Amino acid sequence: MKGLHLAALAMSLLALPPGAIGMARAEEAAPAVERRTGPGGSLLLVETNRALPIVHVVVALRSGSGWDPHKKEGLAHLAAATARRGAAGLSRAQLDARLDALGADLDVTVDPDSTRFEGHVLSQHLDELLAIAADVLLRPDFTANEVTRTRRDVLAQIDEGDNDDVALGTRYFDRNLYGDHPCGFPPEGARASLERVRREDLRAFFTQHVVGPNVILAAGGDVSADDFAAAAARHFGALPARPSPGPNPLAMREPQAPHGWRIQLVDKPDREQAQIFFGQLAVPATDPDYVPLLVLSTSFGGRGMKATMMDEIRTKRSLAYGAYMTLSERLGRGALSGWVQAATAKAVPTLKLALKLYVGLMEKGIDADRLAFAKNFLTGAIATEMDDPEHRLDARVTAEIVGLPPGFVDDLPARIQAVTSAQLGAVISKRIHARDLAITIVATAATLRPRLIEAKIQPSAIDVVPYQTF
Amino acid sequence: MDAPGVHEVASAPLGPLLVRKWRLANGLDIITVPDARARSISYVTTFRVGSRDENAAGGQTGLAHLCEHLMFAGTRGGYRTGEFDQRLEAAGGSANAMTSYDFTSYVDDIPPALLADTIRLEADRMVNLDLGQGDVTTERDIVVEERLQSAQDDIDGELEELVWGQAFRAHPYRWPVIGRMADIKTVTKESVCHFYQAHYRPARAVVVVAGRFDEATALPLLASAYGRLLAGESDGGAATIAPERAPEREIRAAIERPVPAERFMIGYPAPGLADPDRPAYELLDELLAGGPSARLPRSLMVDRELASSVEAEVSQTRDPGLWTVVVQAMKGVHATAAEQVIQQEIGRLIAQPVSAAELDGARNRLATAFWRELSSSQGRADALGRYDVITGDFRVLLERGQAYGRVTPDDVSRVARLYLGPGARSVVVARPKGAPP
Repeated sequence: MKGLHLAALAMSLLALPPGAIGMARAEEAAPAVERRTGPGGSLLLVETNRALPIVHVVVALRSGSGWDPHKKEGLAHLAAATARRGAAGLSRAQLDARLDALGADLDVTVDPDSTRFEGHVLSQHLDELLAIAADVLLRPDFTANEVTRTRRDVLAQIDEGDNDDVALGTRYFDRNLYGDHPCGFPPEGARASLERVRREDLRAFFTQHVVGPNVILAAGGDVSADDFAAAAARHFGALPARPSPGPNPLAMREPQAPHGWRIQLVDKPDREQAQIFFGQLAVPATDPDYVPLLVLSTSFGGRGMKATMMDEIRTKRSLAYGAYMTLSERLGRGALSGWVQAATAKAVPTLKLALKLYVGLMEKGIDADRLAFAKNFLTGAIATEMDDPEHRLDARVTAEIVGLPPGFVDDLPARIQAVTSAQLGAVISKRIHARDLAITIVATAATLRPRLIEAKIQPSAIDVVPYQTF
Repeated sequence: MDAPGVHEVASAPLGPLLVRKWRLANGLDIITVPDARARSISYVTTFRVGSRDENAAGGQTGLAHLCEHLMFAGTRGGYRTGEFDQRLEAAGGSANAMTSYDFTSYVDDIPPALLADTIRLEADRMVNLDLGQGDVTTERDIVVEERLQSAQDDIDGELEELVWGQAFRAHPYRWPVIGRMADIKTVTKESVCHFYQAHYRPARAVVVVAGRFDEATALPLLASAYGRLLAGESDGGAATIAPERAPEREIRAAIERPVPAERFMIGYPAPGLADPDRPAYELLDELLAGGPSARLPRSLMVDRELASSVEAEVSQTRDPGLWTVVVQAMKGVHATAAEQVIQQEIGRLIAQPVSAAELDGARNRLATAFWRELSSSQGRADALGRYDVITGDFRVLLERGQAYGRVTPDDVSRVARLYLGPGARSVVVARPKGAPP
């Protein structure tokens, strides 16, 4: 065996104290976020970073698709999307042209807990972007024509989303797990529910939810807190100071957890692979068990190659290209969701292995070495993810929205390191329900269903759903 | 501040940061971008090797990509298979990699304390990879799954393969980076080892270190770790590939898939990343498809309501590549109607120079995208390595903004006429199953 070329170097490095190479000599990196009260009682969040001449802006409502009335799912998203396409007497084309001339963007994203208008702009044009964002938030037109066109476009985007098997699977998995709870529907709504949303509903959503205490105005990048506060006052001064609408009781309703393994086969033609999703309800982000569960999900299926799922399914058996588990960060009960994909011929063994591993996690937990490994990996991954102002700002806005205390994002590494084996054992015993799971598989039913039956799954236990059902 | 065995060859500012390029005697280039505000380090090694270096006639497509997977195996006398990831992840780091037509990149995102260990691990695997038959079999099967996911069960992946495949007649860009399924399944350990030994060497790599580190301390370590590696034999393999402007003419194909309505991709000829026409061409792309008010989305989605989405991209290739446009037609709309609008908009851009205001807007959008890409250590390391390997000089990236500023409306019309005017294009339409042609 040929010797290592770098033996001499390895020895020289041993003489250095840990971290000596990486220590920067200049200023310490501790980007601070400034919190202030803004127009109408809104919250201002600003992280100043003068490194590059760009600003990331988030205008967020603490209300999202979780507030959508039953059978009108998609309302919050349709309201926000329509507002973005016509405000203060400007048409969609005029708004787009104004943004494009600045080199800016202003995109709409909606999740169960929030509605966000997010943009990026050269710092020299920040004021103009905020003026446009204020028009969209405070002066939406909701013309009948634009409501019709936006609804039609959202329906087309739902159709287009069916091209992507992972997005398709996620949509059906959420429904399988949460049922008719608002989190069981995609923020864009479903084909039938969108048809029921009226123009008056959109206006009512904005009237109810666009109030100062319900709004977060955030910026990260090349802007000072004083300048941002002044611009916010200039453009968002008309934000009503009415009280926040508070959480929708429906969104706070306890979803119905699965009993046994609830298998749903989403039938899409001509698939060579199966996209397999499995999971269970977890906890709100404010629950004391949230951080231990985050560590646990990282150990089991985090992004690292040494996570249990990746190691056992991909590295040791070559069954799949990727195998992951995530924990959602929600105001209400989030989800622990696993995802793995495998060729149809390997799908059943892959599913069985994933479930066996999850049952093993529930019954045996993880040892101290794995816990230490997961904590270190997660801490490092967060540092990398938070390397730029945009991601830090997004994390801080999310933390605010789901009700976490100020400073949570900065304290998270310490909270992760503080998780103990005993704590994790208690959380596993209380929170992991590996024998009660929602399981959704996107595949061609004609080829996969017989394999599932061959694997001793009762035909009646497999709910086959055509892929364009909702 | 040259360390022993390393000398500075170029530098350029990036906002308040300083980007410096260094060279070792064995030909390895190192780019450093220290940033005291960063929390972590992105350590990216980009090799001047990609699918262009494969022997397609010999049934060896996909070797560059498979080799990328296998770079996480063990090394001779160094570490065992799986240990690379183990050591990084245990200390809070993570590793990833990607392969393209012209290059292969290895990305390590690490905490500052892990820099010394990462230097050692990366230098080791650059020349000492030790593959077993089990490593090759395992990764081959994983790549089969990756291909099923990214191409065979993914409509856009499939369209892209077909558009590029029929556009190029002789150039290696005609086969997919991930490789053909038959070639992946029959790959041998010997062919991978041969590929690695032929292409992996210091002179074909650029190491970029960006983030929170002390340059004066790190440089001697880099010089020491990599300086010991042999330069390897010189090779002229890449130089024998003749650039090909493609496609030469209009080429069309159609497939039936479970799509909601007709979806199609068009590939037009595009200049390489270092071509003098490139800044004007990138502005052309921005004017046509860069933002929601750009000409194609406006015409297709807003004014005529023919499509629900339009996306375009200019390939970042060393040789002439493609500008690809993907359109999702609305239900009941034929792809040909949408394609006709695209051709009309191209014709309009050729016939009438854009206004100064429209061009300024496109410049602003590119500037915003530029700074956004470079706002993280990982974005900087990735982009600098990519530009340096493809164009030979990272400063091409940093000077792009000035280059956009020099482009005139007439330049845009000229490149539109030159590349898009002749009507040469590679078109593939995916139709819903059972839909009338």
